[in-house]
Amino acid sequence: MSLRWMRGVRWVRHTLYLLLLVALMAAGFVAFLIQTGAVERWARHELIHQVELRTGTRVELHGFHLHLWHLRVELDGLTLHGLEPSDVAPLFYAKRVDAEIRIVSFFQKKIALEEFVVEEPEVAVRIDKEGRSNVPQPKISSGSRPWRETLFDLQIARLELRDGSAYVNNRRVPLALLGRNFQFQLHYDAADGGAYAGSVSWEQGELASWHDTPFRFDLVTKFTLHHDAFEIDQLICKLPHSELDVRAQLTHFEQPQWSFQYRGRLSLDDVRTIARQPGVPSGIADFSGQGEYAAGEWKASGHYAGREVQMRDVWYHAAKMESWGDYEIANGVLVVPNLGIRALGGSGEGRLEMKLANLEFHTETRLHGLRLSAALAAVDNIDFPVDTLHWDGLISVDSVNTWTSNFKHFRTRGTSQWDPPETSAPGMLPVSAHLIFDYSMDRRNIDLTQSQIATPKSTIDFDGTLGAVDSALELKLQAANLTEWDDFIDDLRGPDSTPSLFGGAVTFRGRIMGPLGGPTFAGHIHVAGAHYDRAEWDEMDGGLEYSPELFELTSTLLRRGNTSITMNLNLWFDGNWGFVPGSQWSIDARTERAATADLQTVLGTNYPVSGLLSGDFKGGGTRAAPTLDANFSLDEARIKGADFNRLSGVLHAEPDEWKLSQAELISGTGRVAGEVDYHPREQSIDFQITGAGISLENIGAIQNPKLPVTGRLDFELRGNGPVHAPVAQGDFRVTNIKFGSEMQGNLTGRVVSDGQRARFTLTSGMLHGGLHGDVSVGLTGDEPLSGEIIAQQIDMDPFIVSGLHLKQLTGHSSVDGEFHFSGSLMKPDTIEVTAEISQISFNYEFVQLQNDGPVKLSYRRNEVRIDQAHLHGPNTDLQLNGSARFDRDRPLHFTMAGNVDLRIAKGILPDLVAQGRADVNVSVEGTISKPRITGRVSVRDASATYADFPAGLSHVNGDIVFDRSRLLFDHVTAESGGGQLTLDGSISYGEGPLRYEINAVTPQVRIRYPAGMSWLAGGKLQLSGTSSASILSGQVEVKRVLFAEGVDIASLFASASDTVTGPAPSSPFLRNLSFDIAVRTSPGARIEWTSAHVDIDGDLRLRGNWERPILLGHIHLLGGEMAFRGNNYQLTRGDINFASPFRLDPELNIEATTLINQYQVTINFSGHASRLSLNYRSDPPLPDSDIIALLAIGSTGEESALRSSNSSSQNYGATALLSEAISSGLGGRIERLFGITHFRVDPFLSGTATESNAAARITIQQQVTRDLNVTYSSNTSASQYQLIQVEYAVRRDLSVVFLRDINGTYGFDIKFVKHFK
Amino acid sequence: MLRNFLISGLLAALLGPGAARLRAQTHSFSTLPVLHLSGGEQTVDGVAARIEDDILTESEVRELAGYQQLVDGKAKPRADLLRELEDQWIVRGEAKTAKFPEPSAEDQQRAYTEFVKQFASPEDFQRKCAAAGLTETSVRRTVTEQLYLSRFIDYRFRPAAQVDDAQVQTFYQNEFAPQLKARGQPVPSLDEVQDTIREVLVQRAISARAEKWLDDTRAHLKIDIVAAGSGS
Repeated sequence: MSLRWMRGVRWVRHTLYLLLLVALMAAGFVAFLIQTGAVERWARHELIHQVELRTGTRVELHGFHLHLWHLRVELDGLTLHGLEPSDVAPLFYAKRVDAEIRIVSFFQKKIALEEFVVEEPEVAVRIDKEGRSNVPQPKISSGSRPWRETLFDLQIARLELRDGSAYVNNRRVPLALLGRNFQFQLHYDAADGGAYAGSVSWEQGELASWHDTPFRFDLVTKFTLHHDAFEIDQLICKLPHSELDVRAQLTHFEQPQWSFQYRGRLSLDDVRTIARQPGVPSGIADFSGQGEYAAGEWKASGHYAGREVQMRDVWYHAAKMESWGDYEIANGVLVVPNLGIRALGGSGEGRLEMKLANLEFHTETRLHGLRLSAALAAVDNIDFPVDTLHWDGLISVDSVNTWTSNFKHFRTRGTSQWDPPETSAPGMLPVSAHLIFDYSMDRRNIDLTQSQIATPKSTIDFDGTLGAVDSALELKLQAANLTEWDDFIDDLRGPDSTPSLFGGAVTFRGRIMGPLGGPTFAGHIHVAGAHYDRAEWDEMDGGLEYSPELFELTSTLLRRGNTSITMNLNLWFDGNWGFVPGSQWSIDARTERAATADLQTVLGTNYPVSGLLSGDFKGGGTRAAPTLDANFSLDEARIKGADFNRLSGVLHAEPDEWKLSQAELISGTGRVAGEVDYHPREQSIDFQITGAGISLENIGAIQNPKLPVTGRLDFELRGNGPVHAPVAQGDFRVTNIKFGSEMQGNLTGRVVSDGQRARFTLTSGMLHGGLHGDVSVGLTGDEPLSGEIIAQQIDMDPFIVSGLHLKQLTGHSSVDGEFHFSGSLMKPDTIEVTAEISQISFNYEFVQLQNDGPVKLSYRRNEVRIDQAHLHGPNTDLQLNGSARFDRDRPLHFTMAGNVDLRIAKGILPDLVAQGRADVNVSVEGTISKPRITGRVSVRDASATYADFPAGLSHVNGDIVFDRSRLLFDHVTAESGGGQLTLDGSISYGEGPLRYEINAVTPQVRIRYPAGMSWLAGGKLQLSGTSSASILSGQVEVKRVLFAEGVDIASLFASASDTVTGPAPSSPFLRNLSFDIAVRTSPGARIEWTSAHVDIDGDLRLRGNWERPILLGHIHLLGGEMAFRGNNYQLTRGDINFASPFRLDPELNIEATTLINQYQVTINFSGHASRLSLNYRSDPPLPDSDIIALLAIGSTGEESALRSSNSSSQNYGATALLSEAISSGLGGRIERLFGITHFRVDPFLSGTATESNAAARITIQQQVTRDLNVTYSSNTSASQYQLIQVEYAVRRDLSVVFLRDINGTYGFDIKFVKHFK
Repeated sequence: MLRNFLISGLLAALLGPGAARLRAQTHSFSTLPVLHLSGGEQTVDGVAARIEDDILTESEVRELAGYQQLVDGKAKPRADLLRELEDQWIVRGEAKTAKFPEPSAEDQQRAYTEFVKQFASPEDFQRKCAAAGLTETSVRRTVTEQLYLSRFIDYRFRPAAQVDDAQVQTFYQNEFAPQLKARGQPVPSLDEVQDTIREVLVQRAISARAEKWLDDTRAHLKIDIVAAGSGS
């Protein structure tokens, strides 16, 4: 380290010490100055000097306190005197000023005010008539002033003016400001004679001068103050949602005249917040314009456009409204001559005037195209739920509206026209109306003059006043159906009411009174086809009053069908439409032979009671505690299916007691009378009932269609106590008891109850045998049951027939035995019945069966057990024991062993008629639905036929083996139709329905089917399927077909076209049986019938079913002979083809020849059997008419036979006369149209409704020769319906008439005509 | 010259077919024999009568006359034929207006077959047709027409032809029973024949109503008999 460096360090150290000393001395000096108040005095002096210098005022200051260390200044009693006289208020005065200073830049000597609070400031500016004010000019000398001098440059972080006032010529403006970032600059421009230029910027200001309501705003303004004028170069005021931009100019203080231009956006939300008026709607208005203020008057003009206007008033709430127009303000009146409005889907135009002094509005508007649905939604509220009317339409309104500020004293009057819309939303009703209205907010009512509203099904005419306090509206409502008002009515009833369905054609004439929030409807109502929920009636007519306090019907008639009720009804509500539990009510009603079915429909009930009700009914009390007194009679009563002539009595009902006195129930000769007093709360009853002459036929509970019970019941019963355990006693007697047609005798009994147990004692007076016993039933707990009934020689026939469905009883049956009961009625599973039948016998299908030893049965828990049963009879000796249950899957356990007479099998298979004997040894297990039978039944020399089956079996021998689920035919042989038959196969019964797989083989049997035919055939047939669908298939070879004498083959073929050719079988099995059998003829096969035989060769297939058999294939008629209508025909050729798979309608082509009177006549049948045509030809050739005559008259050898049919010809006389009459009617018309005397064309050829008439068969009348006239009638759809008349005139007065009538009988008349003069 | 020749040729080519067609139309509706346009043409048919806005042709008159001759052996006078054709026209118009269905082809064939079978033989039928100047087609047409019109009359008037029991009783007592007794026939009970009697009375009522209707309708029709037999 060098010495030089050390010297330098020492110099620096000494300098620092010196500087420190100087600083300490300076600080001490300053502290001295402060302590002595010199600084404060200097600062006060300097402040006053600078203010006076910069403002030109004279400053008075009562107190000055400088808190140097806190940089805070407090001024008390600051007064700035301007140019005003001394006896008036100074230019500025503040009671106190607190300022907190913040040094912005120490070196630039720039400071700011952190806080500036002025308490009770008062500014008083006076401007005289010459435009001079008391605002002085700065005292700065002009020579030393720059061109532009900054007088003030204040930055105040927080500015507050408390409780101040500003006066401009004694006009006070409150001063109460609070804001931040207040900047104020004021410059003085020396040019142009000197002017002050200033700017004010204030953020987050709060102005408390507007109705003392503070609101925040940002304000930026620039101004210039000339010595005789004032200019606001720009003033921008921003509210939260609004903005105003103004430029203003005061041209001369001497003649003050403001002119200004402005534009801005006003949000009504800001107005609502600032003015604290919740009723002010929402919306935005853009406006711009210009104006001026001079001589105390404002003038302005401009344009505004309001949008998104939304009203929130309870009685009017709508959104998205718009308004626009040009306005002018003059003479304190704002006028919008071209007011435009768009709201509620429509638009309008009009004129608006508003007096600015009191904001008094006056508008004249013409609106059109407004949507009614939107308008109703806008006025809908809980007291006026019109939205639920679901109305829609287009509204036009011409109205004049007036109000003062903020819709005060609002009034609107005018006319409104509603027209149906072109289209409506689903569920909306098109409405038309004409309204003349006058609404006054002050009066709180609306006058409606001779107005009308019409919906598709309703018309409302009204005239009067609806008011919030009181209404008086005359109303006439005509509704074809009230249902379209349902939602509105439900809403009127209140939000807690259950929606109900009202309907009917209503006419109401009356008035609406009272406040609109709770109106009273009073008038006369008539409803046709009325219904209220499920209650319905044809007509209702009466006086109605409906209000929040009362629902009243007076002198009201309710009618449904022949039922009518007249009544007065009062329901007192709780003041708000509510019918609460404590609400009073009363009813006084009368009805005369009213059908209860109608009454129940009216009341919406569904009790199992019907009849004709008459009586007086009076009710009252409260809803929670109603009472009812009735003196009633119910004629032709039907109660729970039982018919009675009359039920009458006096009923008193209240919550704690139901008392029926003088009660009488009459049915035929039976009568039940008594009194019943029931106390629901205590569940106790006191009764005394007697019955006499009661027919058991009328007691449905004991009737069974298969086992009708008749007799007469008399009883007497009295008791009291708990309903389910009364102390009671009574006697009953049933006389002349008949089960079915069997007279059983009399039965008497007594019942005694001590409140704990009821004991029934039975004593019989039966015609055969006897029945007596005691049964005891406990009335408490599980109601234990015990007792016994002893039967002696009781006739069991009706019970066996109806209960066991065994109708083939062929003799008397009887039973002796004891039946014991035990268990509990409340627990049916515990009920046990044991029976020991010492003797039982019955005769079934002439098989007399009787027991050997006692038959022991027991029943418990749905199980019947046969402990011991041994029955014997002719060919029968059977032991039976086991059990069967009737619950779960109904299991079976039975064994049967012994011999059985097969006649009994008819009880199992009703269609089976069997004889013979079988050895049985089987056991049955499984369930009733799936029995498993094992064992064997051996049949010896039995016979059987089944229902309508054409072949029966005889000499049946073999074993039938039961193999759990199958029945097997084990070497079963039988004889049928003279041939031997072998059966094998099985019947499955284990799973589902019975299933057959049975084969039958026979070399040759004879089958008689259908009636009159006998087939000799052999082959193999197989039956397979079930009872509901089975098929008989196989191959059969036919050797011969025989027709019994009298069988009409022609008719057989003619009727073959019917869709049902087989006889309707009585057996369901045969009805469900289908065929698939191939049938071939054996060589030399032939068809034979009386005096005829035909050799055939055929190959057929039988399909279809028993009722509709279908044959397919062909039969060739190889040759043969037959006698037909008295002639012997040689069959020359023939074919029968069965081609239709849908019906048995073969196509025939058969030709036969015969020789008549040396003419060989050939007849040809051709076509389908249903439309067979017959052609004739002869050799030598003859006309058809001659052939017909030949066939009809036959040879002379036949005449004697024809004469025997004389009576038929006589009947034909009547027929011919009538036919001639009919024919003449038809022929006359034809003659008129076509001029022909002979009726040549039958108009009723097939296909007309009168085809079956006799006239339809009159077709041909041919004059063959001069003396011979042939009339031939043929129904073309049925060739056998032929009528032939041949009239031969022997002489002029003698003729012979040969007849063949439609029935195929022949006759002849000899007519002799003698004329007398 | 050549130009004139070509124009004339073209006009002739254009007017030639048109003139011929015009002539044909005039010929079809010509009613007077004097309107023969040229010696080589013949009158195929003629208007026998005008009825409303329709006509009855001579061929229709001839066909009906032939049909009567075929059936009854002789034809009625022309006035009767025209009246019958007019009646047919009335009934046919009513039936067409009512869209009454034509007889099926099967019915037409059956009616024709039945009609032919009334003659001794097909040859006899052919011979008589030729004598009456009828063809098979015309006979078929007439038979079908007879079937159609008679069915329509029944359809048209049967619903209105109501017969009560008293009328049946009266007919039975006053007409039926006396006639049978006059013939010496036993009289069946009313129950046996009342259905048939009812049909007789229905037929009478139908005829009466049809007669009245035809007469009334004819009275309101504009019928103009053009020429008595000139066309036939």
